[in-house]
Amino acid sequence: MLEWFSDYFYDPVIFWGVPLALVLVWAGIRHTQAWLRRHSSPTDQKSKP
Amino acid sequence: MTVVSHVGDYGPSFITFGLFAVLHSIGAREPFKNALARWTSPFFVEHFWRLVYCALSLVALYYGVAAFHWARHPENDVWLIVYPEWLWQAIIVLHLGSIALLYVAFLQSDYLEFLGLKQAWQGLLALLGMPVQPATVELFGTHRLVVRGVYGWVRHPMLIGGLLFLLTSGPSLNNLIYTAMYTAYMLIGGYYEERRLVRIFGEDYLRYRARVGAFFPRLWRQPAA
Repeated sequence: MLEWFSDYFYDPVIFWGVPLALVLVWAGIRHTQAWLRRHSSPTDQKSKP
Repeated sequence: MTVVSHVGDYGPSFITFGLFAVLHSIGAREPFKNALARWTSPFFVEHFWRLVYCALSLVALYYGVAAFHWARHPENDVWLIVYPEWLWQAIIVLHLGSIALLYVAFLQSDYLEFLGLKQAWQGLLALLGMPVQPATVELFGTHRLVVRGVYGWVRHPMLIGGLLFLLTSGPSLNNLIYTAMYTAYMLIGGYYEERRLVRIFGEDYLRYRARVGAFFPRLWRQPAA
């Protein structure tokens, strides 16, 4: 099982692509969080006295 | 004795790997980049050279040097030692650990910058006349010194991660010869990289070097006062 998994990383596309995918997923999460904060904050402010 | 007698068959591998190592080192050096900037433009070197350099290195290493090395002696892909199953499983865990170490180092040094994608993206925006934020990229190892995280364990986690990856790849003669070539490059390249970092960061790098080992963690290190 572990050997089968580790064999994938001899493929250069997988080896160099996995960290790139991690960076892009992380950037996507941060952008989505920022977008949600921007679009939820006006409602929050309106509810304040 | 048989293994030693086979090493002489690897002359072409030594030449191609050596050629790659020299060109790969020259391409990353400031004098070459300055000359390239005069020949092309400073804008090209600042924004697009790193991406071109990485692409050329990747193609040359995988589809040139490594492919040539393994294709010449397929008969030497057999293992020289047969490990007990428990030991081989432990080596595979180490192998996966080497990949994790490399990935942490990639991410910590800013992987998009490492591949040159960040610089190229900013260059593309500038060419399209769009606003670029920030105006310049603070390059890892040139404008900023990272001494925390995995760089607080060893100074060259990518180099030692690469060596661990090869050492845990199975004991065939092809692997061992390739690992020996990589080790030579790691030691020579690491030496010149150290000199460059001392020149750029001066006292800061000397203090870091005194505290953190190049390739192996200093487990006996005293905590900083």
